[in-house]
Amino acid sequence: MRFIKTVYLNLSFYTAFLVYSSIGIPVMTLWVVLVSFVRPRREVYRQFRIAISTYGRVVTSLGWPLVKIKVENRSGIDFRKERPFIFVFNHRSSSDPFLVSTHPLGTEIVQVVNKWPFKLPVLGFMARLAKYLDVNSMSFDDFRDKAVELLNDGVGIVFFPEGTRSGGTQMGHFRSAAFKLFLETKVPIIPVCISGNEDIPHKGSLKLNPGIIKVRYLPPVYYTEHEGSNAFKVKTAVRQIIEDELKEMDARQ
Amino acid sequence: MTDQEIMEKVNRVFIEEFEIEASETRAEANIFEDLGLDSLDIVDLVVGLQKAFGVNIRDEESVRNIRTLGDIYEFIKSVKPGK
Repeated sequence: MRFIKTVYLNLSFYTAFLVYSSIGIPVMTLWVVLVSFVRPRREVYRQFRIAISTYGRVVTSLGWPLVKIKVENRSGIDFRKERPFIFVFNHRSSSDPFLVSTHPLGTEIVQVVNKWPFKLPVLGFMARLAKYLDVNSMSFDDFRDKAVELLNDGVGIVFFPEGTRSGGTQMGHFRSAAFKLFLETKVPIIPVCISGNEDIPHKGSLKLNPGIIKVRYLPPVYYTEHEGSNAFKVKTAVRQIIEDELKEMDARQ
Repeated sequence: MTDQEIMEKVNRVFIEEFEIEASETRAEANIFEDLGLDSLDIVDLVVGLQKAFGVNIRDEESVRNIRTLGDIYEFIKSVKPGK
């Protein structure tokens, strides 16, 4: 029975994904191009980001009901009213960047990525226009300056500090850029835990497996709790918060 | 400063500045793969070592070659020779 569900899931998801992408991406691109003629530049960037988030949100729904996504906001924050924040996610699967779209509608975010997303056709172009940040292609000072510009505009910044998919339930080491940015800007960190998607799909595979994915937004980490500290200590503390929460989430899967 | 003193002082920087467990401060420990530092942490590490040893660390080439705690012991010996 599970085999049949898995076959059905992969056939239906990838068919819907290809159809949606071939229609949805041109439509969204056209929409943003039209907006660029009549609205100021800041609004155009905002529309790009919302378009990418909308695309991701629809993609994450294409596996329903065999892949269900439960989003829990335990931060105590209404992200539509309070901003910006630095979001720190754990990273298990290639579905993670799409799951970022589960953040509340109306909040603008950019993701900090490695080079490869910019090489994707059309989506890479949109990511550049949305000012996604390639942390490895610039010095930290340049990265910080671009990030501060975004934060000052109320745009949230999403990090996957492991830098690569862990491929399982064990987290890798965290890189320090998010936490150095936190100390320099004092913008609060929201730790976010993704559980249940380590095989949706598994690292190195495109095969989706039925399951329930949980995305849990945790209470903020404030600068005042770490004033005078260094990026390594902050990342250790935040990593521990996420690790502890994931233990509980994984145990309940 | 003796080799032992250098080793203990370097370890103390890692224990105090980076909250690394004392049991992990082995000469063969890779500071990136085992202890979780990255290139941004190296800046704070250099500051910590400069403060601990009262030296100015300018040799960026040598710092870039550091991989293990043992490499750091040897590096500090080269900038602050023992008596």
